[in-house]
Amino acid sequence: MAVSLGYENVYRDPKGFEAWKDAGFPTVSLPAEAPATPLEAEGPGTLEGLALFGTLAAVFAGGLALNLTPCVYPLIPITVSFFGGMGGQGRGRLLIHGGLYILGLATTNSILGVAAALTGGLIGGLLQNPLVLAGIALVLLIFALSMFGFWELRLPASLNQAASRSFGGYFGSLFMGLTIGVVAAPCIGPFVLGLLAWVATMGSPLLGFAVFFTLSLGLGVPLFFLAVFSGKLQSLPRSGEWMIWVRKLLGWILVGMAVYFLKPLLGDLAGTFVMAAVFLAAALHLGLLDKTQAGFRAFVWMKSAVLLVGMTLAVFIAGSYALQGPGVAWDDYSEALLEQAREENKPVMLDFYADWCAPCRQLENVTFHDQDVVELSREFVTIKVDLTRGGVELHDRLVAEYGVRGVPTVIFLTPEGQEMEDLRVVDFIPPGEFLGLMHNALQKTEKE
Amino acid sequence: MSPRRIIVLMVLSLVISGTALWLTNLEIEFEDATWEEVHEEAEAGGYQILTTEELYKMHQEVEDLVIVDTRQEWEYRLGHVENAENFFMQPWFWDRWMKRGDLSDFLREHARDKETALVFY
Repeated sequence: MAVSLGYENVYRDPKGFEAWKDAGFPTVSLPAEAPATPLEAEGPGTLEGLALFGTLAAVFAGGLALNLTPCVYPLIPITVSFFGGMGGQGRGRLLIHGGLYILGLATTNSILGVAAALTGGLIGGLLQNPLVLAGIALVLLIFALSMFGFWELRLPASLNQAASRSFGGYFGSLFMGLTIGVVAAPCIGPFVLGLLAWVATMGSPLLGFAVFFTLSLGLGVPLFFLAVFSGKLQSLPRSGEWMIWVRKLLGWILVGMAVYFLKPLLGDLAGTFVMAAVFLAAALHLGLLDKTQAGFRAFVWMKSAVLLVGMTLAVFIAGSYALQGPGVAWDDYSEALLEQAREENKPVMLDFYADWCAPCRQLENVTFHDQDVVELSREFVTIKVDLTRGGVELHDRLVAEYGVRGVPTVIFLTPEGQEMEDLRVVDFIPPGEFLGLMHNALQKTEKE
Repeated sequence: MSPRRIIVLMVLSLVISGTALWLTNLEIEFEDATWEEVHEEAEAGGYQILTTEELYKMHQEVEDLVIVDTRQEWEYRLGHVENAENFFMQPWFWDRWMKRGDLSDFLREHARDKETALVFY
């Protein structure tokens, strides 16, 4: 890579640091208390690079899809009549008006997003609470029922009218944009709520702003074009039955989000199968059972696509779980778990893991999914430290505390928290050998 | 939707999910890269391979050498080659272009000019 940047003398030492150290050449190490670079405050699992791009693309598509729901659709004539009233103005000014309109819309939604992200730390903590998780899932399900048409969610009519009253000039366009979110709120509300909770788990204001700005852009882009080229209104598919189908699709997405929040409560097995069941049910309902017709051919393809994608995901989710079988039930590191080990006189198995390390994945997929290993692991307190993303303060401390030199590393601790140093694992080992180590650790615990 | 279309869709979804399951459940083969592979890769990438001893020689003799430690920051902190700088790149191909701009800045900061010798490990 450095070569393509124009550097001429580029070398690589494939044996790396371990060989250098073993040869006794000069090395430097930094104390754990003083990070080489100051650690930036980072929420759990900030999205980066491609993942962020993919997520934003999906959010953008979600914003676009919102335009198809019946609640937003009435806004389109409002938009057109508002901008149609400016007919006397040049295209340039109309573009500015359209831009301001979208800016207002994006601002309203992004403020919501940032507010959610700012309370993210708090909400993130709350999201560990089973009652809160169940509450969120319940609200999502209630909104999903609204999407399925069991009840209607709408603002009082007087507020609706006040918000859609037109103001003159550029400020009018901006104000129109700011308020159109309010008018559309009964429709996008449940979707936004789902996103709010999701952004809160990410805990980053910047991400919150990005997510909501993108959602708003997706929502606003068709309105922008409509505003500027208002003459093209007639070519849109007519508001009809098929948009109720789109509403149902969004309803199923909300059900999926509800299950996502319930998963920690349901446990691995039930959570996985409920999720698969939701995909299957959504596919069958939207693709087969729903008899909605539309006057254009693309609709049949949309139904087919939903059927195909839903069923494929359902089979895949259930299948991967069934093929792999249950694995060792790892917990995230916490002092309380070590306390529990002391009380129950159980040894501790501490696994340092990272997604990008092949032997780690092999250890997880083969050894830690071996039936005997899983069974015997119930005699241990099992803790996993996931080092996939750097910069987590707790993880840095643990790595220093236990002198972890690389991943994978599996450490056995006595119930009192002392490492059984002769049992440390630093590479993939097959289930048979690992069982030997586990027995060894148990014997040592019993002797004491 | 016609029954034929439904059957085709169902079979298709089974085929796709089956293939995906097969691909994701392949045994992970893990072995150390051989020296030939390392040299082939180096040739394709246009860089040269050093042994630990050769690196030590350069470390002692070359004045404005830039040694780049590409491991994670915590690994770097626990111990690294003297005078090495840390630039974390995950061993994934997309890091090579996602972090391109960062690496460019990093090298501009640490290397005097384009002829400066760079060693990555």
